[in-house]
Amino acid sequence: MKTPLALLVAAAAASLCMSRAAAELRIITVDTSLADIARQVAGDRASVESLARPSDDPHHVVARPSMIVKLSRADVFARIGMGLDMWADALLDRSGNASVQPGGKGYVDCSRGLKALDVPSGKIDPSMGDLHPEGNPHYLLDPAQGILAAGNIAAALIRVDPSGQPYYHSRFVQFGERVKAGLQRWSTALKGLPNRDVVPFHRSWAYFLARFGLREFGVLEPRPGIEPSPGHVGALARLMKQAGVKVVLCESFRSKRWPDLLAGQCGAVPAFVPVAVGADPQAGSYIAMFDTIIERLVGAAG
Amino acid sequence: MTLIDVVDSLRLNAIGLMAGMAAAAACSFLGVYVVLRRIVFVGAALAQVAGAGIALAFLIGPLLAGVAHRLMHVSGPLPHVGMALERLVRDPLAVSLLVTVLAAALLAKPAMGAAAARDARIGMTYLAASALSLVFIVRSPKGLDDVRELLDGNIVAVLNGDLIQMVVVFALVALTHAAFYRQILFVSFDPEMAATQGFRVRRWEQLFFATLAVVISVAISKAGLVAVFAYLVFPAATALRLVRRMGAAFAVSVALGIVATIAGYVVALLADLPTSPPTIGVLCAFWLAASVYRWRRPLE
Repeated sequence: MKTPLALLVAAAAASLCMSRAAAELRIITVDTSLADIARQVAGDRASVESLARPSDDPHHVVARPSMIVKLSRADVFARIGMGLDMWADALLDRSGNASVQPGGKGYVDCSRGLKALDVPSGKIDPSMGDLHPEGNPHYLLDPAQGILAAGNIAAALIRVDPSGQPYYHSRFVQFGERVKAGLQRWSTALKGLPNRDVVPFHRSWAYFLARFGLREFGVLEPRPGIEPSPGHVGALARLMKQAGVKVVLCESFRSKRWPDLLAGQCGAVPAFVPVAVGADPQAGSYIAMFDTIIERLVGAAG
Repeated sequence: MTLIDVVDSLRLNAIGLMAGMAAAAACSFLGVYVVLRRIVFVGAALAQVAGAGIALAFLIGPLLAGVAHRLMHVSGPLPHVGMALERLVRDPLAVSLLVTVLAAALLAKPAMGAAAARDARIGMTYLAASALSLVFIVRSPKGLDDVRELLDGNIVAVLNGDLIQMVVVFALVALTHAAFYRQILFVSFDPEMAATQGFRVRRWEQLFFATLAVVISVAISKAGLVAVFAYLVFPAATALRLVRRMGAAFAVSVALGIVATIAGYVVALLADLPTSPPTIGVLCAFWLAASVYRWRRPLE
């Protein structure tokens, strides 16, 4: 009887030592894109983990018990905000970690300072679909807003770990330069598109399209969060055919059924692209994710 | 994941875990009647109806909220009605509960003529509820994922208020069953004899089905559709393999439901999964173990 008890105590002591040994800063982010941005800024001064997996729909992530433990140990919690990651609220509340609650030192809403697009005017009615009152929350699909998110994360890291300020600042500047170099590369690649109209599945692409001078011709979802009907697809396909629109842009976590149906009816090409780091073998980092998106978009546009 | 992480998680999410255990206990208790009376698919049908009720609540919620808002600005007693309606539509459980209790009343009606009459009614209720769920979900302004999230359920995201609601409702059901234990038991297993002895069979049947509907509706909105159906079937089926006496069967069934919830939570934590699938896996393992045990040591 004594031996199992001794083993249990030893295991508990060992796990306590292990957790003490890894006493670096812990950053928890809601998704893998923010995790990569946080990694670029924090370098080797912090460990970074994402709550959502790369293949998750960022609107609806199924809560797992492990998430509460991660949040309870976090020094910094970075979220997309603007109502996109409301699934994290109950977990945050359960974690009992005061420093990562809204207003806490380690709490980061990465949308802080954003000039939001698609802010609904007038009264929002639930029949309008899954609308976000604060505006379109998919700002991380504009690489330039990735710099904004990095700045917000850097500010939180400096609050939590003031001695690391020069380190975080210099890494933030380097990340910004890499993104700016990418922006030039991607803008050049998209310049030659024969038709600047695209049809996205969900209204996730407002910031991306605005950044690269592309236009949203129509949206496959009739209202945000509502699945298309065959009638809506047919009507959209006719309009696309008339206007010569060639690209249906769709996040890779979604079903291929509707984009394939629409593309098949009007001779367009669906581009299934990663919208989170790691959602595709080629999208190993935030910058590599945009390389992949642009490559597939250009490929689909022919 | 270390041992400390497991202990911490159990401590931090005690509310969710207690909600899961409450749902498990209530469903596992009623499951003994469900399994013994061979009306397992009543559980599935009512669970499906409760799900359709949640989807319906999302669909008609904005409409009813508009009506409630208008009533609140009319003179006379109508503002009170408006306020009551506004409170009612805020929680999809109210609509789900109403629809499920109505469906239970329909299923509680004794079979007329052919022995398959109730079976057919159960099947038709299940199919109609499944089809209507899909229609409501597709048309719901809350969107497919919001409704599905509620139907999937997740004890990780249960709030303090949810737990209080569950405990109050389940305590009322437990009190009802404790008060009328003899009547419900007799009418459930020997309705003809009960009728000859002056029991009002129809009334007790309706009461049993109503409590089943209430438990299923409340449990589904927190633990999810599949988990609730599993709690209704597995613990009772396992308990009935292990013990013969009714009292023991109820106790073992409830204990198995509670233990599976805790074990499923720990497995979910270690394997980084949502809670429902591992809990159902544990319930299934219990049933297999009990079957092997009974195979090696048959009841005399």
